[in-house]
Amino acid sequence: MSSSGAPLGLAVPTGSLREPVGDLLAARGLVLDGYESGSRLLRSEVNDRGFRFRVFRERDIPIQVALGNYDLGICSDLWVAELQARYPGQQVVRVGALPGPATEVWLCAAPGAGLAPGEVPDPRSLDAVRLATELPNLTDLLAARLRLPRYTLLDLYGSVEAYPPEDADLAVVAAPDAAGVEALGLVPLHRLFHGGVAVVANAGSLRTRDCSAVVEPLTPAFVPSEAALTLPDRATEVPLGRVARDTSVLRLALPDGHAQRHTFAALADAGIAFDGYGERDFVRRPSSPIEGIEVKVVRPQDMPALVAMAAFDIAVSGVDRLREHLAFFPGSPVEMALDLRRSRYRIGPVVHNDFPAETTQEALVIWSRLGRPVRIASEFPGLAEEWARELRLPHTAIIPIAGASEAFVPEDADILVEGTETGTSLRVNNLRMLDPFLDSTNCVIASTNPRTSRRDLLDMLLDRLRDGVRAAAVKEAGAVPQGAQGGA
Amino acid sequence: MTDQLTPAATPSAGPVPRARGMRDLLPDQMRAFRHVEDAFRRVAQHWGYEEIRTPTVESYSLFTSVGALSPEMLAGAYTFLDWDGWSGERVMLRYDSTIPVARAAADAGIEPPARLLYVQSVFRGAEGEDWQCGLEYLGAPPVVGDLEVLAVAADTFAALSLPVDLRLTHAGVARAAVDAAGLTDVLARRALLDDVAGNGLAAVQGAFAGDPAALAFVQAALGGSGELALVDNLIALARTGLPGASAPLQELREVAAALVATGRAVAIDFTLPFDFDYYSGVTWELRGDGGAWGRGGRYQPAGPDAPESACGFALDADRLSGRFADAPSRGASVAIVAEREAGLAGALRLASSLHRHGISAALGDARDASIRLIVGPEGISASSSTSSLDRATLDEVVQFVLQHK
Repeated sequence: MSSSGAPLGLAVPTGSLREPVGDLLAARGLVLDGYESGSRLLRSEVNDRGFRFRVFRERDIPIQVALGNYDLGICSDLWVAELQARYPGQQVVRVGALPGPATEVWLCAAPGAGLAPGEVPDPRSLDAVRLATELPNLTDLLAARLRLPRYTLLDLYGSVEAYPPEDADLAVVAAPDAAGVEALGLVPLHRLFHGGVAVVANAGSLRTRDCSAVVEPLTPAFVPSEAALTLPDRATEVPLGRVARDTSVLRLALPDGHAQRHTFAALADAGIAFDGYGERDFVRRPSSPIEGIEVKVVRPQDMPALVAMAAFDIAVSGVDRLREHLAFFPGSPVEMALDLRRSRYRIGPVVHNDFPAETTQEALVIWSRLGRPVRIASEFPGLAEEWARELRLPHTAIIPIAGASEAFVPEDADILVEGTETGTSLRVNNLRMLDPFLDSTNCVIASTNPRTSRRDLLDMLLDRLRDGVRAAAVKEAGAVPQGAQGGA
Repeated sequence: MTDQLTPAATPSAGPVPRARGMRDLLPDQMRAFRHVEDAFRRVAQHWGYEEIRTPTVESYSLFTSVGALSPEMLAGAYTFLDWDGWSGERVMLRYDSTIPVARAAADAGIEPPARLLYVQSVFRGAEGEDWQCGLEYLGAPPVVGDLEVLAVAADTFAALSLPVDLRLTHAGVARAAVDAAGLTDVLARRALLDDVAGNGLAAVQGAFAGDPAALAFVQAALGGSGELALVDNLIALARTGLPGASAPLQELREVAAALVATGRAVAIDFTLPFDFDYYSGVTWELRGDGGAWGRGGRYQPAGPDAPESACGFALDADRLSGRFADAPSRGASVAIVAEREAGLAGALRLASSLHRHGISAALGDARDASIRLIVGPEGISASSSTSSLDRATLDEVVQFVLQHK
């Protein structure tokens, strides 16, 4: 919990809950200046009610409350369940439920897997099953209940629904309800969890600190809502149908999200268009005009692992994501095949504007004399650890975070290892970057040992993309850039 | 990546603490630990057990593939991605030694019957690292094997002069109760077994509300620990109430009777919670002053080359060691000081000679030394609290030490 002298801390969610939670808090007289929808502000000073707030990704909120960095938090019950599935002893208490969207977690399969809604497959047929999820703790718990003999857990950043059946046999996904699962194109087999929006507290704070400034105005808004984890206790005798990797095709992964428009442009420069992959819109499985190429759209963060696992032969991701992957797994059989030179941004250590150093070199002296571990928050924990190791920071605590990273410095972390394109978000949150240590662009990554038998397609695709990079450079600057010759 | 920067030159963040849940075993604790370990090893070796040591890191799938990783265990498991974790391959710090020992024996083609002992640690969440002394009798025949393993455990405590009760139950009784509950669905049965593992036989009571004979059996079994007569009474009740429990009860009675006949303290206790899906036969706990010191039982090892059945136990060596905090010091009893450079080789020769005679001797000051030897160009001088010797030869000094140590 926060120290007794510190002001009360409230962690509130960014993302889809930001607006409804902001409205509800305001309706209860808890106006959080800067928390309104559209604001990029992630942190506040102490307000007239005597508490401060920070904005986090929902999945970080129960962790921050459990650590005691914040006394109270508001987030979906889902993320409390995800934390407690693996760490049941964590000091997070559900104080009450607020009106808000329900979230469920479902075990599901692809329509072709041979299972009807509500049918949990026979666990004895699930040896070596592949489970895709963004919820690894709940999924492990499910696997333990089913006593899955051997299983591979694909711990993903997102787009889980894209994985079955080719790249996962089963998926554990969050959705509003069973219809929401079906809308994702999957068959709902078992509802693992149901919950709403929770107000959570650090157990120690509830015992020892006056939390009434937040709790009292919120209590009248509480609604009767249960958060329930239900492990399956019935199974069918229906075996699960599975799909093996087709090595007669070249499998290409394209990114969704921020990287999509850059990838679309790079493909356009190469004269390649996939039906269903536009500048903004996409379908999960765009069709390829080039016979023998199979395309799927997934999150770029997940691509290095997918290529290393030989699920895909080639993918368009980012230098940052590749380096992050290689920081954890230096022997991983994935490499950069081509720098596409788009979506450029810098990664480096970020500190609060009041931090008394202008360079990393100056900062090193300060960090080395803190007399406690240097706390480094990052969405790139591998890169952050590598950077700290190279600087020989004597004792560090790396805090992996899900996003909204600007909220962490300086109270909850000394350093943020973060990427920035324009620096706007840093400036809004009173932060600045010291010396950046990595320039990242989007790039093509490939397996060092592709599983496909269509190496000809791989070479052709790379050649065309390489020509596209050259053409774009010529168009932009009238010169062929060095480094567009391929290779890392 | 940061070649323009100079690494931090003068770290001053203070000492880095131990990882959470881990602890050092300092000399006093190691002496106590060795006392327990030596007693266990000596007894087990008398019964023909040979030592084995398995890796600290095992494949996560080793534990899941035998169905041992329950939701409760998962919360305490140290798991992480392997070096080639891009494939999703996970590893796990050794959670338990039984499964790795059975795996190692199968990997090495060790044919049953195999008697294997181990002294190694396990890693379990908030409990952190715990050291265990244990053994596995792979291919142990029913009853005789159970008796042998129980005897090794009891003899270890006798060697340590610690009185213990052997509290016995039988997994077959819990299984019979779960079977009688009539759950055909594999997951429903699994859920009930998990409940029994956490709460003992009490978890099945609700299933017998409409079956007075079965309910009478369960209530009698849960009435508290008892003597051999409890088993006899349950055998009588099982004939109508729970026929599937009769054979396990007969086996339990045979084992318990032999232990009682050899003067060992035995209690029958069906309230003990165990993973009755994992264990398959007589299952037991060693309880003494301060609680449970260890557990064991009969189980069915998993894997294609595994023997049909095995018995084993593990003792909580850390807690047992705490009972022997006054174990005698094993520090050097002789300190050898070289008076000047010319005496260094002589000091080494003297140390070697004393070691050959079984005397612990160290160079320089030694905290626990009762005898001090000074090696100089004129010879060796020796002093103890009661006597001294000047300008002596090597042989004279050895004799002096043997007399005064």
